[in-house]
Amino acid sequence: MQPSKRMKEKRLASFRGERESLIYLDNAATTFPKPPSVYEAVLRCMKEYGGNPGRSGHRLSMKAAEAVYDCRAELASLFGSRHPTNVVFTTNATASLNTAIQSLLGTLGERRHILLSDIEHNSVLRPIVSSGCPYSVYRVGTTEEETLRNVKKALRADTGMIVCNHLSNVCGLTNPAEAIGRLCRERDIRFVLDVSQSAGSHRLHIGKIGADCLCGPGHKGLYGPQGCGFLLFADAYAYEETASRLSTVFAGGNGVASKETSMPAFLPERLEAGTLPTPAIAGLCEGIRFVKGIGEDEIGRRTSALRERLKGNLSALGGIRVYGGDTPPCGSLLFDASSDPEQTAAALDHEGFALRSGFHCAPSVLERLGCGEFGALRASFSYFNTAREIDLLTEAIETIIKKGTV
Amino acid sequence: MKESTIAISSVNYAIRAREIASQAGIAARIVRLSREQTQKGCGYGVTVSFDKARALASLLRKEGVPFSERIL
Repeated sequence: MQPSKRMKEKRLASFRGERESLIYLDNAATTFPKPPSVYEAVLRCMKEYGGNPGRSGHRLSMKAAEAVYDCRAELASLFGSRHPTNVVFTTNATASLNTAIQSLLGTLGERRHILLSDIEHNSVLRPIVSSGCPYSVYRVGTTEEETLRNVKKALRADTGMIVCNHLSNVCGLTNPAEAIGRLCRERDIRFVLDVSQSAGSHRLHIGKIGADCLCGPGHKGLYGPQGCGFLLFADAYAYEETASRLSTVFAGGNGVASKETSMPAFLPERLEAGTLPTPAIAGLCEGIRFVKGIGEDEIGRRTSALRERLKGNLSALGGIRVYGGDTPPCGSLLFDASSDPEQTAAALDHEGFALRSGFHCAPSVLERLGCGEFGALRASFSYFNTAREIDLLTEAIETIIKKGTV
Repeated sequence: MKESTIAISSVNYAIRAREIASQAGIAARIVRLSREQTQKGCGYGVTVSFDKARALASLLRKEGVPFSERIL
């Protein structure tokens, strides 16, 4: 059996003493590589102005504070807000979602029932379960109208919050964010939208969506480093009257009114405590500028096209199960070539391809899509992946199947 | 020239205040508040020319920027 073209390339590179290159297709977990400007920004922050933002009046602290504020401003404008101070930084999307849910619970009064969809990541499901609040799950339909009908059916008199993702992390299923937002505004229901998989590849405007809060990571579609996540609150929260109703979630020092024992009444400091991940935020700022420079539409078009190419290739191969392939184009494809996706992933790793296998922190979606008892493989793309890489992956899968390695 | 400092408390809002001032054509710089200027401990302010302070305060109020009404 001849080695795959990819394996030949790797062996040749090794023979030449060249660094073996890995084809990375796990961008829904975290994007890699990042734009060079992101690496430079992180290093510049750590080497040139690594002070603690908002703690002192000296130059390094002020420069760090300005860098953090610049990122707040870039993020706010990316999502259609003119309030940089409505951006709260955390360590990742999970921390952001936990913060959003817990803080908004303080505004609900007696209406503590929470609604979520059947395609959520554990970063939405688990905080809701942990909150102890009663909750219900609605089914995402094949059309926006069907989903909205399901949402309305699941609403109760005591529903105070809806938390859902904009786009699934394993297929193209989406929640109709603007329609849900309108419903929430009509019924005074808090709306938290998880934009982890759509930020950077879809145009999002918090005002048009009508969400109370958008939550996401810095390190996926916004091409920033790991270690940083965000919440962006709606315009109303720019005023103390509204922001002060948010429950504090994580209390501590933030350089504001140190003699006071309670957290400030205004954002972002009401929900930010402790030292921020300044280098990661500096990197995220450049990641956002990269996204703005290319445009979300182009990034989304490119990653969706790669998914469609892989889908077509695998269909031509035969013997491959593709899950959710009939959902709208997106940047991920779920599939399997064997009964054990872990084995396939290991074999592909050996061939020089990085893919994720298992349940992807979203077991309910995999069950809905009909995946096997061990989950499935996911290939997920970034702006930096190419059609050639997709074709090489296809060839490697074909080789693995023929070898009987899986 | 006589100057006034508006106590802002948070560095994020001090930067925001400077932005708002700049958009309104008011020159402003961020300062660290002294012990005498803040009773709450730890804070920042924006310093502008005396004759611009009230106008800036009005803009800050409109934009929801929390600040001390006591102009220093």
